[in-house]
Amino acid sequence: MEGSFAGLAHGFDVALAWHNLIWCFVGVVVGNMVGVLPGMGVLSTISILLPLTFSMQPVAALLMLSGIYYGAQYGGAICSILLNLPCHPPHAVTCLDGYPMTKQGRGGVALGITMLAAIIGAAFGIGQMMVLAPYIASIAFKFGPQEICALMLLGLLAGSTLAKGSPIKGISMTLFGILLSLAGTDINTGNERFTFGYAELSDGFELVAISLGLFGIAEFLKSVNSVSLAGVKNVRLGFRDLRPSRADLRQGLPPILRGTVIGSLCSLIPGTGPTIASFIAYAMEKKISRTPERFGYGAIEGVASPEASTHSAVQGDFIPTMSLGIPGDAVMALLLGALMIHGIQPGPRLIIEQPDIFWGLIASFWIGNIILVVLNVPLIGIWVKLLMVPYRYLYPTALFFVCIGVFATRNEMFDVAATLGFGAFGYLLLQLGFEPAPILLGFVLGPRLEENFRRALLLSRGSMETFIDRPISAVFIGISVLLLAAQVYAAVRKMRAPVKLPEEAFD
Amino acid sequence: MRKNFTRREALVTAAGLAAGIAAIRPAKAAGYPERPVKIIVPFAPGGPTDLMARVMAGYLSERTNGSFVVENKAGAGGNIGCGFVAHAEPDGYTLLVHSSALVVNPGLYKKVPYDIFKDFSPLVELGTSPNVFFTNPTTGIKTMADLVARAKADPKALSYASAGIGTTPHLSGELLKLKAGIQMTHVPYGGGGPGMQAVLQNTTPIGCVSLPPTLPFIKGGQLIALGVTGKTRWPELPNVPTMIELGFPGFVTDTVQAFMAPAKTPQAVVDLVVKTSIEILHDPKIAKQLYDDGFEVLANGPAGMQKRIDDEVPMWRDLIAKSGIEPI
Repeated sequence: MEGSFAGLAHGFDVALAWHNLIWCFVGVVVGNMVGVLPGMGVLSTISILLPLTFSMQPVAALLMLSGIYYGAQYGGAICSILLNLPCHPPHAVTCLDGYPMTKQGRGGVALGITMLAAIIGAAFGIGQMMVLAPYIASIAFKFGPQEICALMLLGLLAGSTLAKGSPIKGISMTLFGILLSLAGTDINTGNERFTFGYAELSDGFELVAISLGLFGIAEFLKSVNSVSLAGVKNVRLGFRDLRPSRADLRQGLPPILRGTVIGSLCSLIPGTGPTIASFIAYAMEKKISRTPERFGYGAIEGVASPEASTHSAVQGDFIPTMSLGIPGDAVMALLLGALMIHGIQPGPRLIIEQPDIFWGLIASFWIGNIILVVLNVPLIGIWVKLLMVPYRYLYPTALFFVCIGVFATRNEMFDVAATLGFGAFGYLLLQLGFEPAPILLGFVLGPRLEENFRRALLLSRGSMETFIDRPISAVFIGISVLLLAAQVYAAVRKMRAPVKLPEEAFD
Repeated sequence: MRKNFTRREALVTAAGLAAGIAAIRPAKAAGYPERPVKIIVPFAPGGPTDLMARVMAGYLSERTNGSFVVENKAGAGGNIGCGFVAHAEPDGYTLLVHSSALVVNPGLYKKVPYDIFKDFSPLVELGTSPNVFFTNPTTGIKTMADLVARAKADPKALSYASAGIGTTPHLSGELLKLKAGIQMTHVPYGGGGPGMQAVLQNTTPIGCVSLPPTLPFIKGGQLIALGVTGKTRWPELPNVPTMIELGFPGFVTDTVQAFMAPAKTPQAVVDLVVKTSIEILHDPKIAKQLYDDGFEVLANGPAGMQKRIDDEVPMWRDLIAKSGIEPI
């Protein structure tokens, strides 16, 4: 603990040196812009800017590139909430309640609560990195394939009812998402599955293509068809009150804290990044809510919890990367690459051997997040005014950026076509009363479930007992069973009681 | 001289001057590169091949006064990007930096979108990293002999983590099984990092991945290195024997970084890129940087690269067939 504060003091010395401060500022501002632009990804931005950092000092380079990553999360929620465009996968789930809030004229409130969630989530994530980094190995190493598999199972069970409407439809959409995720190369055998001869499918569908298609494009198709632009009219009502009221805060704060904890836990488990964290946070918030029927119709908890979770997971993502030298995802791998180009070896000794890098980075997180809040809070009003741009200009422009962004993810036209295809499919689903959100859940969690399930069985030589032999995994399996039992019990009780079910009417 | 020097005249003069300057400069492949050169990396950003390509692109831009840009075209184990370059215009503006997958994939996949012997003009064998066999200290296995003895005593006792199907670490494991006559279950992971983590957390007792990222853990005692697959010992691990020294003659399975161009690329361009790249790799400062990043610099020109292709394509194909790996 004491060492942490001494380290942090040193870190502030490093991060407040003017050249580092400027690059940190540049990073978060670029990140913020990238976050707002639909489809422009963090990964492509960092890889484009990487060559620029060759001539910079390593600390400044790392502060800037990291700033892009967490800065983008501040911008990422804006399009999700205002336009139903989930430009960044972690914020896809924010659409579910954020966009309905916008339609009710409460878009400004949603953005305000997002800011609060961001700063609380990030602060917790950074604090965790300061204190826990030295012990991370022992926590991360408790999660083998059995544990991850059991956790994913729990996530899928809890989350398959995360959308509004009928549970059966939700579950079928989850399964469909898992099915989609099967397309691509099977990691256990190297074989290609469901690629139908398209080489572009050999690594599967791009998550960003699916989420932008199912949410953004589908919503676009839906609104274009309906002549009355009710959404825009309602938005005007909302300008009076952009700030969350006291009641909003009271309602939003507990979910923010819960989301923060979920996000930080997820970031400690290998390979479980912000996207999974935000889905699990939303699913859990709905599960424990006394009024789950409000979710999907503009519940403030449905924005607060996943956003806090995303931000704390994003900061937490740096922990295994910096303390073990094992990158959790492609963005982290690229950051380590940037360090290596400067001749700095990532690994367990980085914290001791390169205190400038580690503590400078942590101090820059504090500085960067404060800059981001200061920048973004006054901008909320301007973002909301964006909706006053006539629909016929706003959406085509957004779609243009979506196409560029999706293309830039892998430099593949195929992905643009996939986005449009998923858009048309998503429109069909909406017309039939299917909510697309669980598709994303299945798509994100499914592959991790399968990969780890098969790996666990490979190691146990086919014995299923391995999942209940290990304590952490046994607990997750136990909760899953309880959850299923509760569901079945509720269903049986409903069947026995011949009462008319009001929520069925919404389907 | 007239007083009124018109804008058009100024432009003409400037153009003439520029042409003059260009003429004075040493002949460099008729002005190549006149526009940005794409270096395709057939993997996602952040991996070793990407890193090598970005280092090369940076210094090539500097030394040719041109612009070399890395573009990632990932997918199908590197086949997509590789196929893209194989069929690109051979004008010197599309180049490829690939890993050993270039020579492994023709034997691993039923079909690859390129003909390794006909579609390419090899440029430079840039660098190489050996693989390393390692174990978790709690397993009690301290040497390769211990490993072989353990596996012989109980063929079901051991499993090994690798960086994924068809990677040189996976094939190294299979080669060990063949050469030592033992059984081990292969557990593929999605990359060297996760594979190493599996051994650190004792999910699998044995691991085989590319050496560089394991160095800090081996030095710190969290992992025990059993043998390296390079021709010679790795300088930073002087006590870890090579597989050849351990009694497996010919056991050399490294991961190479290859610089390639499409076949029929103009000879002048090939010469320029090869010459400049080799100069870059021979710069002691850059060589040291690459070594610190885990690459042993090879800097062999087209002949060396061609030899590796001629030697290794049949070698990997043979190993894949013998070890019973199902072609993808």
